[in-house]
Amino acid sequence: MTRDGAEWARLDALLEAALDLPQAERRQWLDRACAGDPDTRAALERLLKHAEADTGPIQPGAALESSAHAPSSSGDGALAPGDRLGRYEIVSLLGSGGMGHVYRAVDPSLGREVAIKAVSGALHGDAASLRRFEREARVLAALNHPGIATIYGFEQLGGVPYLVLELVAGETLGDRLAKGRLPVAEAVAIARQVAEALEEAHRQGVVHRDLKPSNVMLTPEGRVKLLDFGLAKSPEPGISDQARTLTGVIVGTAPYMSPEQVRAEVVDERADVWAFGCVSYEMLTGRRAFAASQVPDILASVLRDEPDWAALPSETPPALRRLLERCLRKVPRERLQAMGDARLELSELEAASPNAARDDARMRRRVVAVVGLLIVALTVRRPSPPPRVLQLSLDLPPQLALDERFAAPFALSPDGARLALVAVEDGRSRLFVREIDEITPRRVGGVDSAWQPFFSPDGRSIAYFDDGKLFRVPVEGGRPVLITAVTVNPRGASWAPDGTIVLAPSQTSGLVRVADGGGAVRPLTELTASRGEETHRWPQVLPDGRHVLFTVVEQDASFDDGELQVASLATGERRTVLKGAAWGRWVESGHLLFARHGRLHAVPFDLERLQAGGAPVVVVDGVRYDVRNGGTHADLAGDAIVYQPARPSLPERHIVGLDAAGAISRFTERPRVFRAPRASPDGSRLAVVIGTGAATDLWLVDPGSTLTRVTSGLGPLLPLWRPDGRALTVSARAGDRWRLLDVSPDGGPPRVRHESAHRLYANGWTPDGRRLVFQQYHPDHGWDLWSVAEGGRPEPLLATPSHEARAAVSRDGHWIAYESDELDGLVEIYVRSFPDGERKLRLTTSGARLPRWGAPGELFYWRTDGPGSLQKVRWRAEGDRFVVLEDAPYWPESESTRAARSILVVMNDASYDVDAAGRVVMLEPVAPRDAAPLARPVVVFGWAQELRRRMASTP
Amino acid sequence: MGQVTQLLMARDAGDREAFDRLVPLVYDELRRIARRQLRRRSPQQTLDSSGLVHEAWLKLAGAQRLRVNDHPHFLAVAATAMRQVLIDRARGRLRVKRGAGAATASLDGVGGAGDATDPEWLLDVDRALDALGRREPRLARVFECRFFAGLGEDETATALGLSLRSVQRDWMRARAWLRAALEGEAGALS
Repeated sequence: MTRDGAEWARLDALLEAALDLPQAERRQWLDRACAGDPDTRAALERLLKHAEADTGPIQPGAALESSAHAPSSSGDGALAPGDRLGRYEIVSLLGSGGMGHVYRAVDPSLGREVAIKAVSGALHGDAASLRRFEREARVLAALNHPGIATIYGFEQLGGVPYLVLELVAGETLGDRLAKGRLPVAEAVAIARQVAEALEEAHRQGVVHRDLKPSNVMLTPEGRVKLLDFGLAKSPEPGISDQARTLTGVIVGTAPYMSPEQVRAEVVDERADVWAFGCVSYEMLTGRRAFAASQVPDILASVLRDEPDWAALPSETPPALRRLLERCLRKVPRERLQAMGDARLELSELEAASPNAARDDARMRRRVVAVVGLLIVALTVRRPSPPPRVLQLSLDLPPQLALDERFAAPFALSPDGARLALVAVEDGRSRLFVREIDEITPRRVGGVDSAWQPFFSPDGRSIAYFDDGKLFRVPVEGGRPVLITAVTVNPRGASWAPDGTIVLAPSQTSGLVRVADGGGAVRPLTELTASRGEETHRWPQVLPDGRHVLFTVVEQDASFDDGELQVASLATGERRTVLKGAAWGRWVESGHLLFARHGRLHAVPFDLERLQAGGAPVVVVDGVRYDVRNGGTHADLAGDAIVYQPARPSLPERHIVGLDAAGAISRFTERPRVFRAPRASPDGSRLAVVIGTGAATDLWLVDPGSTLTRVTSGLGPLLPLWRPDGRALTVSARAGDRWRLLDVSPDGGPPRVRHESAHRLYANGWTPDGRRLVFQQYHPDHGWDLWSVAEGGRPEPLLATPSHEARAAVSRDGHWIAYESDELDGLVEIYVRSFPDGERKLRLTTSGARLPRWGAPGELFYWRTDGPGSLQKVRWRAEGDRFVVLEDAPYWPESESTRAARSILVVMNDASYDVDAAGRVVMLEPVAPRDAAPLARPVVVFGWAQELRRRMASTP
Repeated sequence: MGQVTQLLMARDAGDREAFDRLVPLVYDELRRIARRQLRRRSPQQTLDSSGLVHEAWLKLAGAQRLRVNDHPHFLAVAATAMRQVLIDRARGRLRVKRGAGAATASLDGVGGAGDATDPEWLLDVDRALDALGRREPRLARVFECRFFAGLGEDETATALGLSLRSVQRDWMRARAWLRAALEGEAGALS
C-alpha cells in the first residue's frame, strides 16, 4: 500500500467536491482548496483530467462490446495456418465462440487430420476443475460409436486444455435443411441413426444437451455423425452447471432447448429426446418446431406452445406422428423416456419401406431376450432370513473406505438382506451395495458422488443425493434417474409405500414431499417462525404410511435440545412426541429410538395414538453422531440395526483463549456444557451460559477458574456485557413471549428491558450504555435490527426483507458491524455509521458471519467460504469514513496456529468473543471429532426383539 | 416492468407458472441490456450476445439465485452477473491466448492506453474495481452497472436507489480513480 486510506479519502473528498461544481469553476476552486499544497493540487489535476476525459477505453458498456467483439478478432490468440500446437500442425481456423477456437489440424505422426478445440473459461487456474474436466473428456472419449464423432484425446499444451477430435467431412443437417425439407423416407433414415447414436451415448451415461441440425453431420457415404459432444454432460458429478456455463459448454441453442433447460433446471437424457423431436420435426416440415424472431419469444414458445402438427406432410406415417408428439411433451416425465424406444419405432418404419435393412429387427429380438433373462434373475434371487441375534462387523476391502464425513453413510434394505453404503474409492464417494451374506460390496451403476442413501419400500431401488439433486437407481445397477433437483443441502429423506418421498431439502427448511417418479415438489411442513424454528430434518415415514417422524430444532439451540414431532402426510398437521431428542426412528418392537449426547435411547411409542411414554433407556452407549447436524451413522430396518460405534459425543466443552500466535490457554479446569462465552469489558472475567434445556443459567468465570452462578432457572441466552461491566443483558423466553433482561453480575432479580412476541437477542451497547442494539425476528423479514434507548420505545434500525443480524457496536460508538444478505442472498459483513446509518461499507464478498469488534482499530469476523477462517480487519476512521487498512486471517497457515485453526473449524461458526487482551475466546470440544480412530460399523440382526426383551426387563 | 415485480412476488409464493412467464421477461431484459450496446455491430457479433445473455441468465437462475426483490434490484443483480460472465470470458480468452504461445504482455506494464477487447486490460479493470469497492462500494456499483452492464444513467440510478446527479458524479469519480490505478499512478488504489 503506497497511499494509505486517509490520503485516498481526502483526495476523493476533494475530487467529489470539485465535481459538484460546474466544470469551469472546478480548477479555480481547487487552487483555493489546495493552497500551499502543490502535491495535492497536482494529484487532483490528474484525477480531474481522468474524470472529465470522455475518451479512452473506459466507456459505458465498453466491457459488453468487447465481449462480442473479441472472440472473432484475429488478434485474440488465434493460431495461424502453419503454427504448431504440441505435435499438431494448424491447417485453418474452423470456428470461434465463447469456448475458444476450433482448428483444423494435422497430426503428422499418424498422418491424419483432426479438429482441435481449445477449452477455456472456468478452468482458469483451477486444477480440480481441470481434473474433473479431464475425467469427463475421458468418458466422452470412451464413446465409441460410428454415429458419434470420436474424441481422440484430451491434452494440455502450455497449460491450456485442448480436445482433439475426429474431423468429419460432409455437410451438416443444418446446411441440408437450408435447401428445404427432406422426403419422409430420408428423414426417417437420418432420425434413426441420430436416435441410435444418442441411445449409445445415453447408455454410457452421456447427455448431449445441444443437439441441433448444425451438430448433425451428413457424411458423403450417407452416414450420420453427431458432433459437439464436448457440450455434453456425463453422469460425472462435480462439474456444476455453473462451472459448465463458465466453460461455455451449456450455451444451448434456443429453438432446440427443452423446457427444463430454459428454466435452467437439471437436465437428463430426456432433454436430448426433446431436441431429437425438434430436429425430426424440422426435417419433415422444413421449419422449426418452436419459431420466433427473438430469443425470448422462442423460449416462451418452448414453454407454452404446441408445435403446428398440421405442418407435417400428409404422407407422414401415424406412428411417426405419435413418436414426435411423445418426444415434444413439456414435462420430462410424460415424454418418451428412452432413445431406444424411438430407435425401435424408426427401425420398424424403415423396415416397412422397401429398401430397409433387417439388422435392427434382429437386434430388437435380442434385446427382448436379454430383458427376459434379467427378470428371471431378479425373481430367483431371494435372501434367506437371518438367524435370531447375529452381529456382523462391516468390513470393507482395503481399497474401499466408508465415507464417514457425513451422517447416514449407509442404509439397510427393508428386508435387512442388503446394505447400501457410500464408500470412497479413488477419491470418489461411490455408491455400493453389499449383500449381507457376501463380503465384497458391488458398485452400483456409475454413481460417483453420493450421500445419504435410502431404500424404496420394496427394496428394489436406492435413492441418494448428489450435489443437491435426488436420484434413484435400481439395486441391481443401471442408470440413475433424477427425481428432483430442489435440494440445497439435504438433511435426510424417507420413502413412503405410496411412492412419496419426504425429504429435508436444506439445513434451514421445513420438510417437502415429491413423488418418486419426479414432478412437483410440495411443502409438507413449514417452520413456525414465532417459535424460531430453524430446521425440520431426518424424516422417517412411519409404518402406517400416513405419518412422518422428524426432528425440529430452534435457532441457536443444540440438537440435544431438539424435539421429535410427527406430521400427517395428508394434512401436514403436526404434534410433538418427545423433547430433548434428535434423529427419531420407529422400531418394530414398539419403541422410538432417538439420539442424545451421542447415545441411542429408546422409549415406548404408541403408533396408534402417536405418543411416547415412559422413561428413555440408553440402548446404544455411543454411536457416531454429529452434534452439529443431529445426524447419526445408523439405520434401522425391520428387526435389524446398523450403526457405527463411537464414544458418546458429550456436550461438555472447555473455554479457551487463543492468542494471535495460536497459543491456547484454558479458562476452566473441568469441561461443562458451556455456551456463548463473553469477556467482561475490563477483561477480568467471563460471562457464560451453562446447561441445556430448562436447566440453563448464566454464570461468571473469575480468575482462578471460579464459577459463580448469576441466575437461577432463567434459561438465558446469548449474554451481552453493558460497557460499564455492571450488568449483563440476556434474552430469555417467558411462555410464548421473549424478553431482553438486565441481570447484575452480583445477583438480584432481573429487570425486563423489552418484551416481544418474537425471538430476540441483545447485540450491542453504545459506549455510554444508553442505547441497546438488538436483533428481533420478524415472521416475514427474518431477522431485523432494532435499538432501544433507556426508558424509550424500540425503534427499527434495519428492518428489511433481508437477513440483518448480529450487530456489534464499535468501541467509539460510531459504527455498527452486522450480517446481511441484502445483495444476493449470501450473508456478508457490512459496516454502517451509527446511529445515522448514512455511510455504509460492504466489508466482505464471499460469505462471512459474526462480526466482533476487538481492540480499538480492530474488527474480527468469521469467513464462511472454504474451510472457514477467523479474519482480523485493521481499520481507521477518517473523517466520516470507515477505512479498511488490512483484512487478513487471524491465524495464518502455520504449524503453530494449526491447533487454533482446527478448534475453529471443528466448532464451525460457534460463537466467539474477543477479550480486552486481544485474545479470542472460544469453546473447545472435549474429544475432537477426529481424535480417535473410528470403529467399524456393525450390523445386528434380531436387534428389535432384543430391545423388546431389554425394555420389558427395565423397571 | 411492474409485471416483473409482480411475477417475482408470485414466484416467491411458489407459483411455477409465474416463473415460466418470468423467464422470457427476465431474459428479454438481459437481452435488452446486452443488445443495446451491440446493435450498431454486425449481425454476427450480435449473435454472440445471445450466448452472453444465456450465460448471464444461467448465473441468475441457476442454483436458485434469482433472488431479487423488484425490478431495480434485478437490474443491480443483473449487472453483477454480466460482470462475472464478462470477466470469466476474459479469463478464458487470456488463457487461450497464453497457452497458444502468443506474446504475453507482462501484468505490471499494461498501461492506461488499454483496450476493452484486451482480456488482460479487462481483468486489470476488474481488480482495480475490487480495490475501489473496498474503499467506496457505491462507486464500484455505479461503475459495474455502467461499464459492465451498459446501463444508462437513469437505469443505474434506479438500480442503486441513487439520484441521477449522484450517478453522474460517481461515474466520473470512479473513472478517475480507475484510470489513475490503471496508469499506475502512485498506488491510487490498493
